[in-house]
Amino acid sequence: METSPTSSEPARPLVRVQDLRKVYRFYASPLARVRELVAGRGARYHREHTALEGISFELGRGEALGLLGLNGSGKSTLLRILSGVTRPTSGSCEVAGRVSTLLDLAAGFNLDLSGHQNLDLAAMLLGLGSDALERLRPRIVEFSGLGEAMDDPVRTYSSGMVMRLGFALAVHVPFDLLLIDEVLLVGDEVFQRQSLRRIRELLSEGKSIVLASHSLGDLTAVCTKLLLLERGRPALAGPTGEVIQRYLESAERQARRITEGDRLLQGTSVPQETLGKLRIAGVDLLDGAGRPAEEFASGGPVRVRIRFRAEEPVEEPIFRVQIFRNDGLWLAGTNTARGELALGRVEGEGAVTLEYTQLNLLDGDYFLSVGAWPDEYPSYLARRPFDLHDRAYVLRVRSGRPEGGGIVFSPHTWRIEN
Amino acid sequence: MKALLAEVWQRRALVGSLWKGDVLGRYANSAAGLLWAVFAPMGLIGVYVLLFSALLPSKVVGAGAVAGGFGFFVFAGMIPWLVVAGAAQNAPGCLLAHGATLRRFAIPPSVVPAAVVLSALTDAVVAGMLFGMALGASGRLAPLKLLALAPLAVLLVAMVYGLSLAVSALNLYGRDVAHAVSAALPFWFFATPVCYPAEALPAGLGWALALNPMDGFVQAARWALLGSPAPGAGALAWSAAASLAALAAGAWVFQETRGDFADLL
Repeated sequence: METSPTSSEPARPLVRVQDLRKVYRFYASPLARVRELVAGRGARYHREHTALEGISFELGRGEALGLLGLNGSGKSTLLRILSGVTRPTSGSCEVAGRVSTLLDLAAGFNLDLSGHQNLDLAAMLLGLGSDALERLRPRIVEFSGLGEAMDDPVRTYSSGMVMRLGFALAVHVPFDLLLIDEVLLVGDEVFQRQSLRRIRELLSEGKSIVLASHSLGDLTAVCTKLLLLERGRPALAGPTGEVIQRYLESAERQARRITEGDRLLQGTSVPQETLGKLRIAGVDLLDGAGRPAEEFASGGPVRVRIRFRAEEPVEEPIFRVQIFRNDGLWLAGTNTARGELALGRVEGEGAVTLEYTQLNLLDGDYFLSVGAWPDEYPSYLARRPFDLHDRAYVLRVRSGRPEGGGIVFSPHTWRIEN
Repeated sequence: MKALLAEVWQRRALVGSLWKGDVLGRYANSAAGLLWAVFAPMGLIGVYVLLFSALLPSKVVGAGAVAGGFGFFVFAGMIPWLVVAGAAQNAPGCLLAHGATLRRFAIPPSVVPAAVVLSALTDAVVAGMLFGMALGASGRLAPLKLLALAPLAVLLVAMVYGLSLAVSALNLYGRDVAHAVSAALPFWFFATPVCYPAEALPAGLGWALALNPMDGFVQAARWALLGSPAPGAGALAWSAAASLAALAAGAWVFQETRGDFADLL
């Protein structure tokens, strides 16, 4: 990668990536490599994996780019190329400035050395002079909140402490571009907020950030632009709001079995073993009048109609509906047994409907899991459902300012006491 | 080669820090510390002295008769060899050992074998100082001759660095390289007149000695430390040429392959 000194031209972007491609070669053994070398051009003794292809983008100062995609979609490879550690197979990647990285939790610390000694070591590896380090040291220590523990070997730290030190170091050394892989939402709530504040501060100082994550929420909190990667190729790119909208829309077109979960887990989800005798044929989200709806208002009714088909007679099946936030937090759940709805013997086609008389969720997209089970409390390892559509449906909830903020809608009134 | 040497020079503080970490790391938690750099080769020297003077005395020891006896003769020759031996042990795996660092920081990987060679040189220098103390106590040290060793030490380091660059890079492609190096090392050792005098070698094997660049270094060390006959100009020129060639070749291999390192680590 070419790294040239900071240019004074305002027009020049900090990062310019053009038609980047990265191919990994796998050889069955070192001997295969020798054979290929000896056999000359044309002979192939390796298998190729294209980790990235057709990646182009520019990033200006003060901008934050979010990389969104599954494990193995090429996010980390792209970060490593931007960091200058890995070279692209073809295409170019120019970063006109210094790079700071936060690519793994351990952050390259030597476990036997103390926190302070690790700062010395990192400064050396980053090419930072000892004067510069001494100026930064108090701020790094304060940000990390490690205090006295800085004199203890890193071996004795909790993983949260290691992460805090790594983060504190990465955001305080001089840089133009900060690369972060996944780690933003690790650590406790206080540190997360502190980290987010520091990141916003850095952006306003004109630093640029590339952040890779699975989590939409994480990315939207920080990023001005998003790049969605699918198997190493750019699937969607643009300003954050636009990409998220297109992302969700294109997801919805997939026959309503959509969702982030479905799309993100495409091709990688663990095959769900089901008993099969009872299939969920379809799930409809309906309004209070029984009409299909795209959006639902907080406080209003929602009906979830589960259409099923029993291939053979099934005794007393149980239907369950669960609601999750996109980060996996389970918000609500119920089933037909709890609702004291006995289905008896089920055969052929049929439907059950769950009606929420009042939807107590605030603005946002939530994910529904719908399952048909033989028992109410199956152990997840030992028992299998008849069928399960895990986080497969999006429940889009809309609310306004009067309903309040957060995720839970609590009907309320304000009044003045005399 | 120029670009490689320039980047190592630019990050010399980093080389120093890696070197310090390596030396301290090796002798940390040991009571004798750096003295092990001396004790270990002393043991070897003891074995050779015993072997050659007690079991095969006639030919070998007579020809190697120098001030201070056969022990000093072997010790003096061992000092330059320690640079080769130390690097041979640590260079093949050095990039792998620092893999986590190389994956994370965009540092020039060439600094890692540089630190390995510096550590090996440290062992040789410590052994040399001990040798000097022993010799100085008996009043036989010639300080001016020692100065003449400095350029030879630079050439020796250049050669060992070149070889270290090559084996550290190639070992990433197949770990066979590390094994091959340990297998080949004894051959090189016994082809170098460290534990026997060159004259003891059968006449038919003279060519092997003439091709071995270590011969010039070992002879020069004995000349400076023990007052043995000076090595011939031809031998020295060959050592110098071979050293520079080794450095150039090693640097070439390293530069050709470094693009793959991140994927191989």
